[in-house]
Amino acid sequence: MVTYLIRRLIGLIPALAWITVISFAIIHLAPGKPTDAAGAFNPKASLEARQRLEKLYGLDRPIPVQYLDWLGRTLRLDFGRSFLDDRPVIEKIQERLPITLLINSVALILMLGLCIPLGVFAAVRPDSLWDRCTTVWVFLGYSIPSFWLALLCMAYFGVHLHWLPISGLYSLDHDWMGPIARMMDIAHHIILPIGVIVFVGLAGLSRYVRSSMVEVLQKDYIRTARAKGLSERRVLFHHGLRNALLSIITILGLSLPDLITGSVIMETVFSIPGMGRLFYDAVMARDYSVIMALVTIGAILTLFGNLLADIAYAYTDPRIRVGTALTEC
Amino acid sequence: MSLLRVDDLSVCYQTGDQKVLAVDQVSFSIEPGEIVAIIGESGSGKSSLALAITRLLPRSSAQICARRILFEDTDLLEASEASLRNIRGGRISYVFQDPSSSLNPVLTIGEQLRETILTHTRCRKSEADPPSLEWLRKVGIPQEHLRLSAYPHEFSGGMQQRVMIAMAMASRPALLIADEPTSALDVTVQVQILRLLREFQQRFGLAILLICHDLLIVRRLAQRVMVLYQGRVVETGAVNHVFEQPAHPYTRRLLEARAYLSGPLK
Repeated sequence: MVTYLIRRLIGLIPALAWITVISFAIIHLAPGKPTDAAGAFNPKASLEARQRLEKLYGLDRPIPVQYLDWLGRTLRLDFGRSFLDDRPVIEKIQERLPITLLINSVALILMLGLCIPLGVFAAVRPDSLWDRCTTVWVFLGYSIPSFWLALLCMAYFGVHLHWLPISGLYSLDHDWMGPIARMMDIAHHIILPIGVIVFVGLAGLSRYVRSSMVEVLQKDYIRTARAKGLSERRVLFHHGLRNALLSIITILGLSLPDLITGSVIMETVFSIPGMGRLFYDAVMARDYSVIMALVTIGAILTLFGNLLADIAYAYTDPRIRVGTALTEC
Repeated sequence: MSLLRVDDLSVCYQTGDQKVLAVDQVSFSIEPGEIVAIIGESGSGKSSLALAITRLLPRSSAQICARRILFEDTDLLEASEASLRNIRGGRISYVFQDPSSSLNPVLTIGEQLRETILTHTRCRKSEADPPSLEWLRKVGIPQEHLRLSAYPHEFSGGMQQRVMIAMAMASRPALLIADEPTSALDVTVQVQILRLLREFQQRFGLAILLICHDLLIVRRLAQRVMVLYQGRVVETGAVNHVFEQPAHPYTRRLLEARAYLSGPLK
């Protein structure tokens, strides 16, 4: 198993290298440079001054050279400094990461905890009232644009009912609060964004659980389990769900990077200073070093999430364990 | 008194607006320790009948009605869900057609075997291993102590069916319903499985309801036979009698159909 893991990890390296090459190329193909704000958009800046600025940042060299330079620094875990405010990129990420991580992990845990019972109950009685209600809700969750739902929730729970704050993370008097009150304040602020993320995400996820559960419940071994006289609960959760979860593991593995990259739309609508906003602002300012850092981290997490899903898969499905993992060892 | 007595059992499937009558007023009885075979072509309602006895058919699509299904003094039609569960796998066990899909792929053989024992006997979790091993040995699985932690896909089809039989027998049922237990297996394995069933019938006084479309097997194994055609019993009687003097034209055609197979294939 260990050799298998090492081999898989080494296998990720070429994929990762290609991702960085392609994203580096695309960013540089896009019109505009990080120096434009100070240079091209500034009528007082002379051509000579602009060229000096580009030379300072190393932007005058050929792109492959710039890439190799970036690669060399990144391999030493140095993501460079932001073009925008000259602060280390790592520092900017460290500042944003906890917020995004908090919101998205709470949302993911809630989604997971809810999607399984929702999907299973819908699968047990297809076409029941409960199943139809969840179907309607799934269509709503899929088709309502999340920013619009967010705005509606803000208008109703925030402006109309005055229950929840509508934007930001902190109240005005946050700095004067005690530690517990501060936590409560943040919790109060993230209820709405988490609620919207969960509502929208849960729709699809519970549908996945439902459809794979419906499929599993028609299998012969479910009939065997019933013929053995097992209770319905044991049939569903011991014999059924274990098989149905196989298809959900893949989706979970793929949603791992979402934990960290964050949602640009949600963070913009709710004015949350998270990773999504950082990325959006960086793209708009052509802040190459921040963009590349975020893309690389996202790529690593995506590949890692895939690997994790494969491993989890092997643990739940003995056929795969023997088929690939063990024989490859 | 009969072990199982079925009176006027009908099974009806509802698909959309259509109603399909799969089993039409079938009555029969099985005595303790007897092997009764049901023969008929595919689609004649054999499997529906087998599943309907312990009401295993999906309630959403299948309707069962009968005057009564009397099993050891219990009317299965009126039995509560809890007492039905005690009978299923406890007093009436099933062996199904395709063992490779009838065993749960993500649970070990041991887990699946222990489950029957724990559900139907007074046995603590820690005490379930010895009887599991014993049943694996009785169904003829070599090196049984290594097999409890194996998964179904590591077994051949014949071995899987042996595990299914061990699972069915572990609760010492009075009636085994074998729904085409050998049609998914190759011929040499078929014989072994059938021998095993007969051995258990003789050793434990087990009654078997054998659903089968192989007339040779029926003739060698069963004492009585029912011929099912389009959901109805068209003929019933002692095996030798039915095979030698078939009364119903369908039975005659069924017996003639076998004759083609003994001739050369063109």
